[in-house]
Amino acid sequence: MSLRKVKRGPKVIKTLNNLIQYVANWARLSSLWSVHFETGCCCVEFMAVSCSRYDWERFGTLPISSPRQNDLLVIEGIVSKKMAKRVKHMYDQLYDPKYVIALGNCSITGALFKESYSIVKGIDKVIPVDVFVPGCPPRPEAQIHALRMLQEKIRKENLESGAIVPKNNSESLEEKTGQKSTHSNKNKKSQEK
Amino acid sequence: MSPDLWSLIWDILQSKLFLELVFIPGIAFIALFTVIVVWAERKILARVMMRYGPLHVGKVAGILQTIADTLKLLFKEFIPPRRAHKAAYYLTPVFVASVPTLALTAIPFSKDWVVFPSDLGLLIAFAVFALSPLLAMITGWACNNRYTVIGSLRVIFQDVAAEIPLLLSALGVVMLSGSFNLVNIVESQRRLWFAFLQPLGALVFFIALIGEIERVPFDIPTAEQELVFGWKTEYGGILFGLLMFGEYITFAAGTLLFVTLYLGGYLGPSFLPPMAWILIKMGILVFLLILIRGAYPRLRIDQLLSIGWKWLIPLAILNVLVTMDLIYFYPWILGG
Amino acid sequence: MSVVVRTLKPLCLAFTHMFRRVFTIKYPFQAPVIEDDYRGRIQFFPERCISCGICESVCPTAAIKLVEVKELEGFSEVKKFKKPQLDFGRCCFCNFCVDYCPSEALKSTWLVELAEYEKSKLTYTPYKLSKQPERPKLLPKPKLVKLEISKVRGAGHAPLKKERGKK
Ligand code: SF4
Ligand code: SF4
Ligand code: SF4
Repeated sequence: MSLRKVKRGPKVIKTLNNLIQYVANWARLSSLWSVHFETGCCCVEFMAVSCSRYDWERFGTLPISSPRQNDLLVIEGIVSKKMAKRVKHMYDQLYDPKYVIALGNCSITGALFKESYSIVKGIDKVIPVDVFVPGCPPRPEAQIHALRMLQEKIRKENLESGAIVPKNNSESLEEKTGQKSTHSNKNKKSQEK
Repeated sequence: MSPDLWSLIWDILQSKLFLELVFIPGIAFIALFTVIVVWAERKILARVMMRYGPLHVGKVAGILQTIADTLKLLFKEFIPPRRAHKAAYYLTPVFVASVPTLALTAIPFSKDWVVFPSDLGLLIAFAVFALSPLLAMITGWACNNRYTVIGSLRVIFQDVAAEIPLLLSALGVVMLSGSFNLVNIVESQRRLWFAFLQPLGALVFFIALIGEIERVPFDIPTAEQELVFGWKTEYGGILFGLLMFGEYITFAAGTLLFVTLYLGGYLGPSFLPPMAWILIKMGILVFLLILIRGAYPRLRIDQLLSIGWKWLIPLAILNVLVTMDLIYFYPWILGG
Repeated sequence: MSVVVRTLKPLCLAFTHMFRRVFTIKYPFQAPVIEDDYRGRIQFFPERCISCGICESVCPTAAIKLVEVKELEGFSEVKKFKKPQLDFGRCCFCNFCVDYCPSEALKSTWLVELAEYEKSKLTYTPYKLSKQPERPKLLPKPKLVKLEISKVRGAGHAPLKKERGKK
């Protein structure tokens, strides 16, 4: 759910719009509630990052069990073709705005199981992914870095260049990601058998 | 505008009812309580697990965490399930958040600081408590999801097991003070708090209260490992925020009621105002309840029922009998 | 009586744990010491590589592919040879390539923060692979800490003066 962009009009409205969007982005990035949805062995490191040693609740995440209240879906490792349907279903259950982190090489390309008949080679064929985290499994540091990258992405989301964000800043982000950072632009392709 | 209108507005602003409705125990108190307690709960639970909890949101100790959560819920969408009863789906969260505030109107914050002074104040509080499971049941039914329906059925079971010992143990207090008026109940504790006069009743009331306000270890209706989120499963966005808000208002009302009945309410040494004393006692109780959440595992529904029926109700009846005997044989205990 | 003790014990334990030392490492500001032989991002030294292709054939996930190095990519003097290109989206950090490389042209480093917004950015060309890894800009310079367990104050961590193990 993004605020409607103001194409024309006085600069005051544009600034106000940007201000509301900025506050919304700040709220979104600082309370990314996530569900513990295990698909593979990377979930062990995901547990490690939620536990006392690394504790990513510091950044405002909260483990919560119902997909209705979630913002962040973490694909924890390998996804079989049977599970991919459930992942897609799970993604559809989340309410907008929703973000996805793909954890581990299995969820990025299928890595070690690349020749298996039953494995989805890349979860981005099933659902749109925001941040890819390589590692087998990724260390908690890598996961926290990915979370901060996601927060940085959300911070600049849907902001028109102008009053709050300097113009070159948002442009450089678009260069970096190579795509507009709205969710509507991502194409949802469902995995065909 | 005429000066009459200004003076009228000034009178309204200065009137006690306005102060009560806006500050204590009104909107400002409820909002501040929710923001602080949600933050404190996350911090205390984190410290029990030897970690920091919210830390980087708002620079200092994650103090803005709850505000960020609330804002995020405001900016999030919500969709009713396809087969849900739409009107009930949209309306019940509003009632869940607003009905428990009625219980706060009966609580005395000092001798003449009650929103709705009544001779039946205790019964008003209990009536409001009895309403909330009904709302939870409607919520669960309206979503038309199997988890919410199971959750709302569990609310009913739990309520029967917790409500009866709650009422029975409060009966002892009523017998000792001879009144349903909460101000009279507090005033009759000037000599000795009822928690010391009836430790058994206080214990039963405390345990039944945890069941009544659905906190760990009796949060069976929202058991996250069994039912997804109990009767709140289908809610997202600000509707979920309203449900959580209602839960924390019930929490506030429950602790305030315990303080009023057993811990001497607003009484205390006179170097602090009475309102400060009731808030301090309430804070200690809230801390204890949060610590209990950190320490104990959740019980099963059958364990709760067996505790409620086999232990709490007989103990509450025993407490009533002992109180009767005390009043009959040693009337000086009432303070003459 | 034992029931009362058993009931109250967890509560006391929870209360005393509140005043224990905090176990958490504030990661972007403090960093734990990663062992020197930790298998992280792989570093490539192009001047040592003899383009034998052993790393390609030994890699269990087919992450390494030998590609023609073009002049634009920075190695003008060795352009006629093929050099390894590594896909970190596939690599499972087993270090077979490092162990089998006859001329020690591949080394593993401690860097683990490899996350990217895009899948294609994870494929490291020989030139990108040969650049010295930098700390990502999002992370401030951390203080190093090491694990410390004492019977009195519980598990925790203590600051460390030593520089992070560089290779
Ligand atoms: S990336 Fe490694 S740890 Fe993660 S699921 Fe795949 S095999 Fe398991
Ligand atoms: S990196 Fe080592 S193993 Fe690979 S081609 Fe070069 S010399 Fe051979
Ligand atoms: S570490 Fe293992 S998986 Fe990665 S490139 Fe080397 S041989 Fe291949």
